[in-house]
Amino acid sequence: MSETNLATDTDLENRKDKIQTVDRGSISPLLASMVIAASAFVVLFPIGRSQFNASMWGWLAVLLGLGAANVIVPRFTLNGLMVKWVSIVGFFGFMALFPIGRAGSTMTDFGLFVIFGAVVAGMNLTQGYAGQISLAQAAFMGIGAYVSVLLDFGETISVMGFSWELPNLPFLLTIPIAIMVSMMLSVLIGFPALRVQGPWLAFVTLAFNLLVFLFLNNEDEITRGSRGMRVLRDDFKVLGIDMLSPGRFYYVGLAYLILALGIVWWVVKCPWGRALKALRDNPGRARSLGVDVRAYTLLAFAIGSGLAGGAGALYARQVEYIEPRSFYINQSFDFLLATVIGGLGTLAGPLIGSSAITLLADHLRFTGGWYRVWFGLFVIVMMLIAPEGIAGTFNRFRAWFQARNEGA
Amino acid sequence: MNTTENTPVVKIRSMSKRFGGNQAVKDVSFDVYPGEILGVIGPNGCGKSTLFNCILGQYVPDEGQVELDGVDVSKWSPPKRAKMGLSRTFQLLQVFESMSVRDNLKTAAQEHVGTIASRLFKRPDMGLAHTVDDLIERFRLAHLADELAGNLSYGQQKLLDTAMAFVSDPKVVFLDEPAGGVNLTMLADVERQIRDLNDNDHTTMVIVEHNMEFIFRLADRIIVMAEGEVLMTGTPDEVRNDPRVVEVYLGG
Amino acid sequence: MEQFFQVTISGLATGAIFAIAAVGFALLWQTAGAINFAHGEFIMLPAVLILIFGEREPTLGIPDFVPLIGGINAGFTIPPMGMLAAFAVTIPIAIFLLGYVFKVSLVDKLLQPGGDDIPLVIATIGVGLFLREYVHEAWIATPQGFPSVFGNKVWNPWGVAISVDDVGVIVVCTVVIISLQVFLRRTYLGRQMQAAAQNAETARVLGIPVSRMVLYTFAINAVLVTIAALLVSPSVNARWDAGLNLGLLAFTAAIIGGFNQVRGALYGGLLVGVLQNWSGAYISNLYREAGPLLLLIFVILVRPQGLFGRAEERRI
Repeated sequence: MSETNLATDTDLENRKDKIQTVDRGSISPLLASMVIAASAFVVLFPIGRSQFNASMWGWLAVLLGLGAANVIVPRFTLNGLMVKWVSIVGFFGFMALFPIGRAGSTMTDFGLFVIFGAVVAGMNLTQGYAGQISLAQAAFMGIGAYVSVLLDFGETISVMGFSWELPNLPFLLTIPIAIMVSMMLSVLIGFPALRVQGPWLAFVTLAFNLLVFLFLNNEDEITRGSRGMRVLRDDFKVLGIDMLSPGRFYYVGLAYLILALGIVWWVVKCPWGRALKALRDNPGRARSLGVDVRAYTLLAFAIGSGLAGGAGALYARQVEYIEPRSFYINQSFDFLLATVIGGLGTLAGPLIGSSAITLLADHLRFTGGWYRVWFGLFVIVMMLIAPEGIAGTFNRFRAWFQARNEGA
Repeated sequence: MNTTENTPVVKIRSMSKRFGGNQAVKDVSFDVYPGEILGVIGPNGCGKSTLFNCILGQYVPDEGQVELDGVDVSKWSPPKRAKMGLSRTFQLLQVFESMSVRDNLKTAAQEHVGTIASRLFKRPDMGLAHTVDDLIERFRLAHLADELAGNLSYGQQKLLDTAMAFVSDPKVVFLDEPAGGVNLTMLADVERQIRDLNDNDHTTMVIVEHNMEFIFRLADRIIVMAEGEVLMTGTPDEVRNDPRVVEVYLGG
Repeated sequence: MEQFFQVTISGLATGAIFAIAAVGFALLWQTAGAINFAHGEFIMLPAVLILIFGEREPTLGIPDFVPLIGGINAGFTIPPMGMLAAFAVTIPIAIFLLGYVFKVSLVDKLLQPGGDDIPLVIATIGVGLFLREYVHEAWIATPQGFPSVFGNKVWNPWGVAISVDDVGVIVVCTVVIISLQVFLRRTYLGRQMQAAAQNAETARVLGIPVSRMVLYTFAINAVLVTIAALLVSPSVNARWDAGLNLGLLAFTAAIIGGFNQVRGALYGGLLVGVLQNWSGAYISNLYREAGPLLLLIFVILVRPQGLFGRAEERRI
């Protein structure tokens, strides 16, 4: 089947077929950083007070110190490398130690934070590195969740009058299965959508998300429909340690997040990263050099969707109840916005983005829903002043700061 | 004596492409022989770039076949043709501005080694450092190797663009105006590099050019196009002295 | 057989509304390159405004329209004015907010020639979220009934039940589409707008104020979505999340039809409406949207320029 090539000569001339990275905001890095830092402070201060109490000042000092070190110490030197690794280890150490002794409700929050973090990390690969907008992350999460739960508990499903009792698989085995199923479905819908350049994947994934919702909601005999399914964590042990409490299950989520970030990091570091960067920079030129744009994009999309599927399996056990409504298209929009606010093309971005829709959202719940209005407004403002996201703005600021020092 | 010397490495047959009411390329056929430099000249609008786009896959022609080493690649996508050994540059300079010179070349080279899956498990430079450095040397870009391509001057980007077409050791390189917009000093460099690649590596090339002296010095054979058709084919001397060619340039 | 006619005519009515919505969406995409993911919310907002002005007693002033600040109860209450008057009042509001403000504050700032259109896409998703949640918090948290301007009578010619509402919708939409076509093709201003959409650079050289033409396009879109809001809300009710579904179906209609021309979006809309009703009647009411959505995926697979669109031209 020959390809319909919709890019004309004039388009090549005007670089209209370039998918450019969003790495230039309309205001200076200094100003953008200040605006973001100020908003962050305003929002996070009351949260810090409630979570850390007196020790908040100590933690704040550590955070600012690390932040300053990251900005000031030149990136590509030995010191810079040390600062980077200290920050990474410090962050994950904090993530591992902070929850000890915390209330269950905090742990539920954090559990959701790491799981959604993995979803957003996957989306970052699809969008930040391959430049494609996916609006089906929630659908893949839902697929992963239902597949995992149905297999884990050996549920009986009826398809067209034929009853089938599913095998009862150990929880951990259902995770890779969820990932596989999501990946296969994503390739199925991605393949036609990525045949030509344009926003087609966004629309196809949006349609797919609604189709998945309709299926989950209506097929009572398979998914129990809108009633949802209760999911219990009771029979799950890892290395002999019982994972029952929210506090313990959080570590499963954390491990998955680290896995997801690791996979994304690997893909970017290996030769695929260069190909993805090239196809984002100039897809026409990339194709003429042998870069199979379609294959790379499809693979990035598949991996991103697979990670969402696996996260869905964990999500089901984190919240102990799944229903189709949780995987509707507004949830996909949320994931997209989280990815962009965090910062495309960075590894810290997914963490920031996920915290915006989990931790932050929970703390702002006292406004009764108004925080979502502000979230929408915030996204609009971000696109105007800092489209590269919070992490991206930080990078831009650091580059500007260090260039200024070098030049001077 | 290798009999394949006289077998064309690329065969173009009956290539035609129309845009609305404009027949840009009309029934163009020619062969490309291994190791030669084939020039393509003609007045503006004669269809040279459209022809390239049809041969390399950017356009789907209305009619025509492209054969590479006996394989019909007419329906193949550009990446597939590139991997088979057809590489090109564009009339309008196209490099990856957000990547370094070295990364630009590595990208151009890496897609020809192994499969996508295997590339997932290779080290970032995939053992291509040697090949890439070789080309950086030949095109005299060593001092700029780690510079972002977007920061280079036009002429330097042009050199990079051309180098990218050669780094994968292709069977045939299609260069679209490699001397376009390049100042006289660099022009000599470009000519030297092309001559070098053809003499030492026996790389086959098809070059579209406006700069007559440049192409007359380099080409073994020249195709003259006018209004979408092939007017004549011959050695530089034959072309230079043909009255039809003179008329097409002066009369147009 | 009677059921088939009923379902099809009803589908054509819904389809006609989708056609109007799809045309608006397509116009924005073609003329400004703006892919507006908040298009559904652009329909939802006028619907809510029409309902509030038409049937409720809104307090105009600080509390009702700017509850973000909230607190003070200063303002005056106006009595309900009926649907048609409300419609007339909402049109200029829509033109201002969804046309002028949207264009000037977002589209102009985010769409640089030769640049990336992803920031605008994301921003429109943000706009959609903002509008959805704002309406949810400030005005209507639960679905509200929306009276039809044509009344509720049902005729029964030849044993086929046809609602007056459906007929009214088809008539109005036909008039609107024909007027739009006449305007674009036969009037000077319309031809200027077409020229600006086809090739902005050439149009500018010819002295056409391209930016103003684009603004007019946004204004036309605002009018179209308001009309769509008035006509569709009786069936879907006025709800804060109506935009999600409506938007998706409008995109589907525009893409299936092929948004190179107004005609494409029109046929796409009709097709989507009829297909939706057929799916609902003959497969399952729960899977109503499945028909159009599956067709969307199929069309993108084999003919991304749409069933009636032209290939190799991504703009008009």
